[in-house]
Order: sequence, then structure tokens, then C-alpha cells
Amino acid sequence: MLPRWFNIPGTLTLLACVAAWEGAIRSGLVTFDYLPAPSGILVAFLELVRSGDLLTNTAHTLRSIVLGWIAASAIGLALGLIFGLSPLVRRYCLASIEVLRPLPAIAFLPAALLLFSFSLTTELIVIVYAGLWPMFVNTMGGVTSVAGRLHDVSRTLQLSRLRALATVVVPAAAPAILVGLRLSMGTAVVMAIIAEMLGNPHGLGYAVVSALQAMRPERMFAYVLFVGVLAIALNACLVQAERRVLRGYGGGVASHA
Amino acid sequence: MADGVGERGQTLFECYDVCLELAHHGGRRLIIDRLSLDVKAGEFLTIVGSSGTGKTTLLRLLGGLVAATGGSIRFRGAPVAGAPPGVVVVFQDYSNALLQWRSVARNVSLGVEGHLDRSAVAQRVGEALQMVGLERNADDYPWQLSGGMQQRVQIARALALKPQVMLMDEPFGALDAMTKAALQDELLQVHARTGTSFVFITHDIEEAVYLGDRVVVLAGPPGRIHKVVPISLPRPRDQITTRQAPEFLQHRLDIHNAVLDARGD
Repeated sequence: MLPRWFNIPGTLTLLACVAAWEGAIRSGLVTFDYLPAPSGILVAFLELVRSGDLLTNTAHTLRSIVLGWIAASAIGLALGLIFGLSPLVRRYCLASIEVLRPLPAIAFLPAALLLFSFSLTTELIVIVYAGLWPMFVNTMGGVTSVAGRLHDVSRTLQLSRLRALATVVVPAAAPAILVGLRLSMGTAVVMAIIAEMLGNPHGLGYAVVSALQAMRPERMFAYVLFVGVLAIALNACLVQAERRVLRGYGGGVASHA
Repeated sequence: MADGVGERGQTLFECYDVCLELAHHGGRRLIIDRLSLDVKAGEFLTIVGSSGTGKTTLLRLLGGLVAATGGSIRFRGAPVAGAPPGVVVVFQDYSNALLQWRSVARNVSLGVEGHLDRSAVAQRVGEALQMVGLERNADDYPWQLSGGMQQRVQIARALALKPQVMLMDEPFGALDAMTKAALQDELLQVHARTGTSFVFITHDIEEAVYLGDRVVVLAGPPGRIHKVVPISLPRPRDQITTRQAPEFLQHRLDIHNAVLDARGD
């Protein structure tokens, strides 16, 4: 039997789209020089699995994503807490952050390339820089919107500043912080692929580009679609973790994941 | 004496000519005007007044949650600067004041868990929950409980600190009449058993008379003391017989008139 969460109507639509694609190519209804049919992509994908190329490239990209995401989250969390807790820091430094934040991270890639050449460092710098903003903004927002009443409670119960932070402020801001973690992960995936295409010739991003240059459209589409699946899987892991952490928050907080 | 509730009759709070002025639309606005008041150990002091008379502000001043801009507030002889140890505030909006992600027991332990070892914390929490009749709800979450039960959790959290003074800001204002009566009697039992002093704000005159040793009637704005009425009713008090006693009705009438009077003051 299929598990209860399995979305049968949604899957049917998806399969119908794939079948239409296959049909359109086979019947000659659509003719692009380099648009492969789904069946061709599947064959190329199985070949990549068998040769071990997919595994090697995925291992590289996944490691970059996870390392970059952890660093981005840690920095974003720390900055978000500092800015969220201190009106003084916000007054002096938020304007600088607001200037820096909208600059597209990808525009920094040439600068990183110049400094660190084609390397993992370049890739990680781009991931961390882009990935820390969602975490920062959500953490700061979560902390500043902790109800004033909870600060009153911390004070009347004689909690030290550190204890109030750990037992009241951070848990109260946890739903927002967890959303930040998830958004940072999404950004990390995108930036890892772009950095591999342009800055660090390894991993899935580079594999897409080299399949393109080698005129292997089936292989290229196989990699592109696999990156999509990887992003969905990573997000699903975080949603599950989030549900677990927010169990006990009750009344609708955990459900808008 | 540090951990005790204080010798009965000893003065705990001394307020002298307390003023509070806050910034308001570019100017300054006087919220509390030269208010002087004592709170004695073991006393149940209730405060009534129309809205805008600074009831909540007075409580926040006593609890060290806001600093006076004039006069002096002392707790056991020391000037109040920040929340004084031994004093704890219970807020009206229990659902905002409880940590919704913590179980009942872990809400009650919040104020003591940093200071006592695990078994001592468990014992304090158990005693506090028993005093408010929630020992069977220790593992529930606040959002699973009714309003009255949530307010009991907040009271238990304050009791777990073994405070000398509990400052309560219209704690039963959002509850239905039956729950309110039950909680009033539980509070009187706690008062009798522990000797804790209470400063209890309410807009319900009958509640003020039923609970209090003295009723303070505030006038304002700006908030100031209009009248202090000693309540002569004997303890223990009872929802039926006390409320039918002629003295109760007389006190109720006097305070009602005083509140009306304070408006024209």
C-alpha cells in the first residue's frame, strides 16, 4: 500500500506531463536539435549512476552545500541575535547591512575568483555570503518580535540575561529561525551550482556545463533534473527536522511549514 | 530571614511621593503623581480604580519593571532598581506570559531551575502545582488548558519562587465568574498557608473587598491615592456567608462611592 502522504493526483499530472513530452518528441510534433525525450534522459541517467560519475559529483556538491550552509547559518544566527537583541547595534549598523544585502552575491564571484582562483574556497565563500542573509533576517525578525510580556516575565523571575536568551528569547524566536535555516539551504543549493559552473570546476554544476560543451543533451538534462530532486530532498529533510523541533509549540505554529 | 516571608506587620514596601513621568507626543505626561503607600508583611492589599488611574503602572513600579522618575520606592529598606528578589509579578494575559513551548511543569520550574538541583526543583514544582490543584496536568502544554488553568500555571510559577510578595495585575479579569470564585478561594488558601503578601489589582469592587485586608482606591489620571479602606471582615472568608455579611455590603457601598468620587476628584 502507498503511504498516506503520497499525493496520487499530483503524481498522475506529473506522469501525464512526462508522457506528453515523450509523445511530442517521438511523433515529431516538436523538433529541437538538442531536446531529448524523457526516455533518453533516463538512459543517460542510469549510465551516470553506473559509471559512478553521478556519485562523485553529487558528493562534491553536497559537501559544499552542507559546509557552506552550516557556516552561513552560524554566522547568520550570531549576527541575527546580536542585531535582534541590541537596538544600539541596529541603529548604527543596520543601514550598512541594508546596503550590502541586496547586492547580488553572484556579482562577488569574480572578486572571489581573483582572490582565491578556481577553488573550493571560492565556491564556499559565494555560498556562505549568499546563504547568511535569509538566516540573519529571519533570526533578527524573530528576536525583535518576541512579545514584550515575555521580557517582563524573564525580569520578574530574575532570569540572568544569558538564561533569558537561552530559555525564553531563542525558543520564542525558534519558528522564525527555522524558516531562516530552510531559506538559507535553498540559497546554498543555487549558489553551489552557480559557483561550480563558473568558479570551481567540480561537482554537479560543472557536470552540467561540461555536458553542454560536449554536446551531450541527455546527460545535461539528467544532471539538471537530478539537481532539482536533490534540492527537494534537502528541503524535505529540513521540514521533517523542523516538525520534530516544533512539536510542543502547538496551535498551528508547526503546520505552516 | 532571607528566605522567609517576613515577620507579620513588618513593612516590606515603602513608597514615598512616587512620581512617574513618561515621554508622550513630544512632551511629558505625568502617569503617577506623588503616591505614598506601604505594604506590610502578610498583608493582602487590593487596589481598585477606574481605567487610566495607573493601577498597572503602580504594579510595574513595585515589581521593578519600570523605574520611578520621582520619589522613592524601597523594598525591605533597599531602593528598588530592577526586579527585587522576593517579589514576583503575575500578569493578566496568561497566554502571553506562559512559554507555550514548555510543559506546565517546565513553565513552573522556569524561575527556580537555575538555582536549585534537579530534585529540589522537582519538589518545588510539585508543591506549587499542588497548591493550585494542577498536579495532574504537569506534562500538558499551556495551549491544551482552559484559561483558568493557564492562570493557575502562572500563579504556580510565581509560588515556586517562594516569594515574599506577589504582585497580581487583574489576574482573574479574563475569567468567567465560577472560575474566578474558585481561584479567589485558592488564593486565600495560599495566603493563609504561606503568609505571602499580596498586592492585587482589580476593577471588580466585590473582589477587592472579598480578598483584601485593605482596599486602596486610586484617582486619576495622573494616578494618586484617593482613599484607603481597611476591611474588617474576619478570615477565613467564604463566597456565600462573607458576601452576605452586612459589613461586606457596607464596604462594597463605601468603595463604590469612593471610586465614583475619585472620578470627580
